[in-house]
Amino acid sequence: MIPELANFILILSMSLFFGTSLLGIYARKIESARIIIKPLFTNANLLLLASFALLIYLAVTDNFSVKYIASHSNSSLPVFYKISSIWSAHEGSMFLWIVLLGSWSLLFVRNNYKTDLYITDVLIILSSILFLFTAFLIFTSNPLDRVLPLSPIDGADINPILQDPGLAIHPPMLYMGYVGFVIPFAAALANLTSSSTHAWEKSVKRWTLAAWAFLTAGIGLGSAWAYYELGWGGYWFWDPVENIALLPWLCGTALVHAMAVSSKTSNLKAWVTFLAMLVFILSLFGAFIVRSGIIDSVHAFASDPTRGLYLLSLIAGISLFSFALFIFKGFNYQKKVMLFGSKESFISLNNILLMTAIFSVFLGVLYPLIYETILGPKISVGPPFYNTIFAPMVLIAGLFIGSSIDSQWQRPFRSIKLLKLAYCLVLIAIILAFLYFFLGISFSAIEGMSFIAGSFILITYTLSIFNTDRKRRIANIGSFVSHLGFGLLLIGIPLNSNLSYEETVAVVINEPKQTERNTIILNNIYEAEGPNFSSIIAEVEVNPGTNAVLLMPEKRRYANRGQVTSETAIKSSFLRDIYINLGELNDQDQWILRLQSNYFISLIWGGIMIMLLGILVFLRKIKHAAD
Amino acid sequence: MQLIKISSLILLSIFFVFLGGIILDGNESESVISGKPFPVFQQKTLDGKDISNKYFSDKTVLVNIWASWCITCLVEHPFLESLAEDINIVGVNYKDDPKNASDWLTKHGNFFTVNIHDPQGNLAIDLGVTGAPESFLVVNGKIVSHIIGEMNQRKWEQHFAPNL
Repeated sequence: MIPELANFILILSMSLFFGTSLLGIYARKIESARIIIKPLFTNANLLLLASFALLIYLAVTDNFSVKYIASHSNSSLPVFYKISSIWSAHEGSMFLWIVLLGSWSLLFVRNNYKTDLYITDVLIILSSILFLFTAFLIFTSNPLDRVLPLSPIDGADINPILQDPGLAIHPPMLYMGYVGFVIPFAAALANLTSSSTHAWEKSVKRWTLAAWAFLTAGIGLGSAWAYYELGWGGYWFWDPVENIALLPWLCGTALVHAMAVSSKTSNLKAWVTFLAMLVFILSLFGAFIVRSGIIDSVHAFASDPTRGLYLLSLIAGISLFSFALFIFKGFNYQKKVMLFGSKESFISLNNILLMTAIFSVFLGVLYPLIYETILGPKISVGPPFYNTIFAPMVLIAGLFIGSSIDSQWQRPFRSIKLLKLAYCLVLIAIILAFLYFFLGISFSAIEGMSFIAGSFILITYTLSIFNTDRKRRIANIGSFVSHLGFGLLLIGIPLNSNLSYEETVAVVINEPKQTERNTIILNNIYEAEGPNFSSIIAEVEVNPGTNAVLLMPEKRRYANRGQVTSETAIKSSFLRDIYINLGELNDQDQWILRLQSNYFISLIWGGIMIMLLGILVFLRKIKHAAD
Repeated sequence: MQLIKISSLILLSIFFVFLGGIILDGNESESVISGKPFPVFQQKTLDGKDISNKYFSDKTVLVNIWASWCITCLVEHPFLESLAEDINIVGVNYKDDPKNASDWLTKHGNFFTVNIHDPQGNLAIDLGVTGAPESFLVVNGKIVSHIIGEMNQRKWEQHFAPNL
C-alpha cells in the first residue's frame, strides 16, 4: 500500500510542478495570479519530500516488494546502510538529486518576498526544471516500482565497496553542489526574460558560493573516500566522472570570482550571465554522462539508452533555450574599460585560464568518444595529458593570484610592487635550491610549476598581513583564508607525487623483512567474523623499535554476494601516511603485503579544508551584509 | 554578427545530435560477435608461454579484457574473484606493459587461469573489443555472450548465467 501511496504523491508533485509553471506563464501578464504561484511551488516540493520520506521508511522496514529496495538493500544491513542504500544506484540517487534540487530552490524562493516579474520568471524556470526531472524519474527510472505478486524474501544486498560511511555523505554533498547551481542559473535566465535591471548576481552570490562550497566538499570527500576506505592508494585518478565533477567546479570557481568583479565594478555583466548558465548546464551534463553509460567509469551506472536519450534531449532543450536567450538578449550592457593590473583584471585573466582548463578537461573526456566514432579504435586519455595541460595553467594562475593581493579595484598596478614580487620569486628559488641540495628533492617540471605557484601564493599572502598601508590590509579574511588553502594544496600535490613510493614484500609470520627503506614484521594473522562478512586480519609492524607502527590490514568476504574486498590499514601522520594492503598467500606460504608511503597527504586534505573554512567565513560576512 | 550567433546555436545542436548518435550506436553494436567461434590467434601468455585459439576448444571459460591502467577493472576485480571459484577465467591483458601487469596482479590478486598478453590489441580487435574491461563467455570454442564495461552480479545473472 505504502509504495503506491508514495508513487501517487510523487505523481501529484510532478503535476503540481507542471501546474505551477503553466500558471506562472499566465501570471506574467495577470499580476493578481502571482500570489498563488509560490504556495503552489511550496506544496509541490513538500509532496516531493513526503514521497522521498516514504521511500526511506520502506527501505528501513525492509519492504522487498519494492524492486529497487530488493535489488540494493538487505535485511542484515545496519539501518544506516539501509538508508544510504537508497542513493547507491541510479533510480534512488536520481530521486535524491531531485529532492535536493527542489528543497534548495524552495529555500531560495521562500527567502525572497517580492512578487515582481523577475521572481515569477524564477519560479517558472525552477518548476519547469523540477517538472522535467520528476517526469524523467517517474517514466524512465521509478524507484517505487514493485515486484508483484512474487516479491523476494530478502534483498540482494548493497555492493560491499559502498557499505561505508563515505557513501552516506559523499553523494548527497556532491549533489548539493550540482543542484545548488540551479539558483544562479534560474536567476540569470529570469533576469533576461524579465528584462529586469536589478543586480541579480548580488542576490544569488551567497547561494552560488554555498553551492560551490558543497561541490568542493563533495569532491574532497570522494577523494578521501577513495584514498582511506576503498584503498586505491591515491586521491585523484582523472577518471571520467572525476573530470566531469571538476567541470562545474572549475566553472563555479570562475563564476564566484566573476561575480565579485561584477558586483564591485559592474564589469563582466554579460560574462557572469553566461557562466551562471554554463555552470548548471555542466552539472546536468555530468548527470547525463554518468547515467547514460556512454563512458566507462568506476562511477558509471547501469547503461540504458532510453534514459540516456531522455536526459540528453532534456539537457539539449535547456541549454539551447538558455544560450539562445543569452545570445539574443544577453549583451545589452554598457561596456566598461578595465585597467590592466587592477584586481578585476587579474580575476578576469584567471577566468580565461579557468575556461581553458574547462575546455581541456571537456576535450579529454569527449576526445576518445569522437575519435572512436570517426576513426574506429578506442583510445584513452590519461593522467599525463591532464597533468601536462594543467601544470602551466596552474603556474600562471598562481602568479596572478599572488600578484592580485597587492592590487586594488579599478586602480592600475603600482610598479613599485613588482620589485616585491620579484623578491618573492627569488625566495622561492632559494627554497627550491635548499630542497635540492639539502633534502635531495628534485621536482619534475610539472611538479615544480605547481610548487612555485603554491609557494608564491603562500608567500605573497602571508606578507600582506604585514602591509603597513591600512587600506590595503587584508580586505577580506574569507578570500584570504581560501587562497592560503589553495596554496597549500598546490604545494602538497607535487611534494606527494615526488616523495611517495611503493614496496611489495612477501613475508612469513614473525620473520622481520628488510626492504630498501623499512623493516616489516607480520606478527599474527587470524580469521574473524563480521555482521555480514568473514575476514582475515593481519597484524603488521613497520619499523619495530623507535618508530614502531602497528597496522591491521584486512580481507573481507561478503556472504550475500561472495565478493571479496581489501580493507587497507593506514597510519597517518603529518609527514607521511603508511598504507598497507593485504594480498594473497603465495605458494611458498608467504603473505604478500603492499606497503605504500604517501607523503604530505595531510597538506592536500588540510588545503581543501582551509579553502572550505575560508568560504564559510566569507558566507557569514555576506549574510551579515545582507541582514 | 547575427550569423555567428545563429551558427553557434547550430553547432551546439549538432553536438547534441552527435551525442545522441553515440548512445543509439552503443546500443546496436553490442554482441555482434555472439554465436561466432573464438577468433584464430597465436600469441604469448604473460609468463611467456605460447597460446592459441585451440586452448578454448574444449572448455567453458570467461574471457576478461583488462589492463593495469584501467580503474573499472579494479572495481570489477573482487566480483570476478568470487566468480573464479565456479568458472575458469582467462585474462586478456590489453595494451599494457608486462611489468605493470604482473605488479598489478601481485597487488590485487591473481585468480586468472592464464593471461594472454595482447600489447598491440590484435586479439582484442578480432574480438571486437572497444576498451577495457569487457567480458566474453566462451563455451567449447564458441562465443556465447559478451558484455562491455564492469562485470557485476546483475550482468552476470542477466547475460552469462543463463547460457552456462
